[in-house]
Parts: sequence; structure tokens; C-alpha cells
Amino acid sequence: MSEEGMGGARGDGALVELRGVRRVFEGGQVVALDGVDLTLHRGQFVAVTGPSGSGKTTLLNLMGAMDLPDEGEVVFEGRPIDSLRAMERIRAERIGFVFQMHNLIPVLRAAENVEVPLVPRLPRAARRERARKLLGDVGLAHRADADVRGLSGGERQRVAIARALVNDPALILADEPTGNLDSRTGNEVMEVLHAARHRVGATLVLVTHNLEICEGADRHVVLHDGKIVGSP
Amino acid sequence: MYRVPCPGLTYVWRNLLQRKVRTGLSMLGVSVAVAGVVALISVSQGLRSSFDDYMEASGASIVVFSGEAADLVFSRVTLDDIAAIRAIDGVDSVSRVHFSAFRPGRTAGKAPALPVVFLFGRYPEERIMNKYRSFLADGRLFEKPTEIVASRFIADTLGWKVGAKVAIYGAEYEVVGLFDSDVPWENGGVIIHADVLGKQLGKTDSYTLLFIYTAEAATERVRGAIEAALPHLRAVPPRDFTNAFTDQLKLVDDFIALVTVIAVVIGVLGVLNTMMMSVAERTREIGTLRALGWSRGRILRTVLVEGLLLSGIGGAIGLVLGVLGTEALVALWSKAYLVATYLPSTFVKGALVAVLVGVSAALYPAYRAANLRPVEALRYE
Ligand SMILES: Nc1ncnc2c1ncn2[C@@H]1O[C@H](COP(=O)(O)OP(=O)(O)O)[C@@H](O)[C@H]1O
Ligand SMILES: [Mg+2]
Repeated sequence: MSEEGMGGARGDGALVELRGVRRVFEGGQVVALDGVDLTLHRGQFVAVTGPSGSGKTTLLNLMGAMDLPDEGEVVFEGRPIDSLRAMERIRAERIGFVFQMHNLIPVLRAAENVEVPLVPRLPRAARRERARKLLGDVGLAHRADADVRGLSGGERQRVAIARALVNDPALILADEPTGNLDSRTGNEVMEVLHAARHRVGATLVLVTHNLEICEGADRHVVLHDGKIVGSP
Repeated sequence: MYRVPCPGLTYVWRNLLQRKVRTGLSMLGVSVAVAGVVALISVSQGLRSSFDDYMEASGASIVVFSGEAADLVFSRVTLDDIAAIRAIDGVDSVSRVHFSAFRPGRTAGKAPALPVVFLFGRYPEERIMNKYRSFLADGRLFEKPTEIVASRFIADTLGWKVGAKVAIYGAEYEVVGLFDSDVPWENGGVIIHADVLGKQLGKTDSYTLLFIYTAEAATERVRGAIEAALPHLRAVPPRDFTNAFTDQLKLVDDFIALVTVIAVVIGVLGVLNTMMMSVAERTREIGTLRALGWSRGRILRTVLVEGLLLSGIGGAIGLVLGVLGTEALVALWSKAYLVATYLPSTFVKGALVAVLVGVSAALYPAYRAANLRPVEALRYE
């Protein structure tokens, strides 16, 4: 939060840059990403598609400071991501994740789930207020005290979106957020996601199999076997 | 920047409540461990202070016994020693005592009603008998070697009455009086003529213990004089007797230490198992928390706090359980010998056991959780 506006000062609006990134697993047996160069700008909506196993999640993890490349570098807001500390800080302050499986904490109520990213930084009362506001933004103010295990799939994803946005991220990474939803609910969730990101002016990277929800993307990255094969 | 030092307590607490049976069982493990330690220490303390009280109730200034005797029964203070002590300036009077014990016989094929009855060998005319005048509940004090005075507890348990003839080590005695001591330990005994006991013990030319009466101002000097003149003897204030004669109590302490170690190990295994399962089940959740900006340190603390909370609550229950259990034991089992003394330090020790269990059991799971690689944790099914 403290870094807000830094990118603007830099002028070019580059938020995250991947330079010659290679990521392998199983001792080099599995090449998840191979020589990826990609620059994302502030406020963009970037769709990422590609077959299963093509490296989409790995790409998201590298952009989200969850993982480090074996070769090349990831530069976030002008600084290379190189240490565990830097990764933890970026995740805490600059990134919002939305997962395919919502990944809500089952023992926490809806509003408490939204508070989770704020736990390290804000006292309880301030967290609570902010979480309620965010739940209101995704249309779930009335579900704040609900047990998340009792929510519908669409409601859960909306809670997850509120949680991803609660720390005012510069970058929202959504990994197949509608993958487990029917198409109507999926579209509703996408609307909520777009509205939310517009409110904070965040960049959205959306991994999906559904070409319909890629519509309106500023960029469309297509991955195949760890390489970008199309990026109009 | 503002930092919240403690992980979300709500989260920790709800995780514990999530698996009530599992949490409850490992808490119970800690409780039982702590309760056991508290009970053992309290009973041993009770025994110790009841023994101290007994010694102090003699009203004597000094207790004399063999310095080298590993057990009270081996202590021998000879007639020559006694003569030498009597000659020391400032010694008002000397009371000679013997200790023994017997096991009441089987009655009609049934096991004895009591495992042991203490025999306190005394001389009717000596000063040590004075205190029993105020304890006397029925009859009178003894005057002859054929008479005994029993505690009311012993008499009730064995069916003795004033005027009854009873057999001890093959000889017959008349119960002439009953007493109720304010020292619980003493209520497990019978007062008998010291010469009778001396014969039974084969100590006709020596005594187990001496109680020395002096003026208060002379006590220290007399004590020094006895130990200087008779180096094979020890002369200590009655209160310090137990501390000076700790060979057996040292054994009890070692036993308590051993039981404590076993209790800690059992508690640790229970909590460790629970915490390992809890962390393994939450692999994906921990990955999510890391993705949402929780640091490794916070994950570590969360698991540690969870373990500490688990064992802390278990320990608190254990402290209460320890007192209740001890009281039940004392009330139900034996009114005469078992007494418990609850020292503040005992509860501190109990609490330390719980904290030790919590920390040592949660450390490894916490380390595991903190070192989960977030990317892999999120792939975990
Ligand atoms: N942590 C990991 N360990 C081993 N292999 C992995 C790991 N992460 C990804 N992979 C492998 O890398 C490849 C790309 O995975 P991923 O990025 O998850 O693809 P996608 O999200 O496009 O389905 C796959 O073959 C996958 O099995
Ligand atoms: Mg994937």
C-alpha cells in the first residue's frame, strides 16, 4: 500500500516483466516454462489460455512472487524479485490471488476470510471494517457472518475476489476462477471481478479455458508447452 | 508499518475446535500428565510436611540420630551417647524413642484392613508424651509396658476399644486410651512402651531417636556441642529432620522426576500427533495463507500458538484435575497416612510441564508448516 503511485512516477506503466524466464521441475525432466518474455502494464486485462499442463499456473506463480525462475528474471515494479523476503512483501502488499478452488479457509466466516491478508498489518477493528466494505462491493454484505461452507459456488468466488482485493493490489492473478462454475454464475463472477479491479485500477491476469470470458482483454497470451505461441 | 504480533487467534482457536475429539483427547493427555505430576508432588510434599509437623509437635528443640544410618530403623543412639548428651550444659531433658511398625493379621481369610500400623516407642514419664494429653480422645495415656494407646483411626479400623486386649508381635496389650493427633501421619500409629519395642527391635542398649529439650537461647550451642562431642551423631532442629534424613525422600524425588519425564513424553506424543495431522490436513490452506501474504514466521507462530493453546488448556484442566484427584485419593484411600500439601511451586511445575509439552510438540510441526513451499502446497490435493 505504501508503494502506491510508484509505477505512475516511472511513467512507462510496466508493472511486471518476465525476461527469458525458464522454470523446470523434477530435476529438469519437466519444462514448465521455456524462454518466456512478457511485459504487463498497469491497468491491463490480460487473458492467458493454453492446454492443461502448458505452464499457465507456473506463469502466474512467477508473476505473483510465489516462485522463482530457474533462468531469467522477474521484475516487479522495476525491481527484480530475488529474495524470499521480497517475495513475501510483494505478495502481502501488491498481489491479489483468486484460485480455481476458491481456497477459502473453512473455519473462518465470510468476512473473516476477507480479513486474512490484512491480519499481519491491521488491528482487528480496522480489518473488520475494511472486509465488510469489500464484501459490500461484491454484493455480499448480507453474508458477512456466513459460514463459507454454506455458500454457493458463485458466492464463494465472490468472497475470494473480495479477499484478493482487500489489500488494494496492483496485480490480480486469477487462475481459472470460473472453472468450477456454470456459465451463468461464471459470467456473474467475472462481472464482479472486473468491477472490482476497475475500482482500484489493478492489472488483471486471468487464466481460463473459456474464450468467452476473454472478450475485452487488452492482451491474450496463448501458452503451449511452456512457450508463448500467441500474444496479439 | 503496523505489525500484528500474534497470528489470528480466531483462526487458531477455530482450528482447535474443528476436530473436537482429536483436540480433546490430546488435551486430556496433557491434563493427565500435569495432574499426575501435581498429585505426586503434592502427596510427597504432604508426607514431608506432615513428617515435619510430627517432629515439630514433639515440642523438642533438637532431634538426634545416627549420621550414617541410611534409614530410620538403622539409627542407633547408644546409652553412652545419651549419658554424654545429658551431661551437656543446657540440656533440660532427653526423650528416648523407638520406631517400628506391624501389619495387622488376616482376619477370617480376608486381607488385613491396614497395610501397616506404626509403633511409636515411648516412656510414659518422658516429656515427649506431654503433647498426647491434649490429643487424648478416650481413656488415659499408658503407664506400663503392657498398655498401649492407639489412634482413633487405627482403633476404628481394626475394631479396637478402650479396655480391649490386642496382640502385637505375639504379645498381648491392653488398649487404655485413644488419641486424635492433628498430624495426619501420626494417626496411623500406636504408642507403646519403648522397652517393649527395644526388645522387639533387638535394641536394648540403644534408641532410634532422641528428642532433646533445651531453653531456646541454648539450642544452637547444645546442638553444636552434641555434634562436636559425638561426631557419629547428627543433631538438627525438628523442622529440618526430613531434610537431614532425605535418603528415602530423595528416592521419591527421583521417582517423581522419572514420572514427570514419562508424563511429558506421553503428552508430547499426543500433541505432536495432533499437530502433525492438523498441519498435513491444512497443507493447501497453508499454501493459500502464504499466497495471501502470511510470512513463514507467521505460519510458524500460528502452529506454535495452536500447540501451546492446546497444551495450555490441557495443563490448566490438569492442575484442577490434579487437586481433585489428589483430594479424592486422600479422602477415599487412606485418611491416616496420605496427606497432600499444595505449594505454589507445585502448580508452577505443573504449568511448566504443560508449556514444555506444548512447545516441544508444536516445534517440529510448526517448522514443517513454515517450510512448506507455497507453490507445492497449493498443488496438494
Ligand atoms: N511444483 C511442481 N512440481 C512438479 N511439476 C510441476 C510443478 N508445477 C508444475 N509442474 C508441471 O509443470 C507443467 C506445467 O504445469 P502448470 O503450470 O500447472 O500448467 P497449467 O496450469 O497450464 O495446467 C506440468 O507438466 C506440471 O505437471
Ligand atoms: Mg493450472
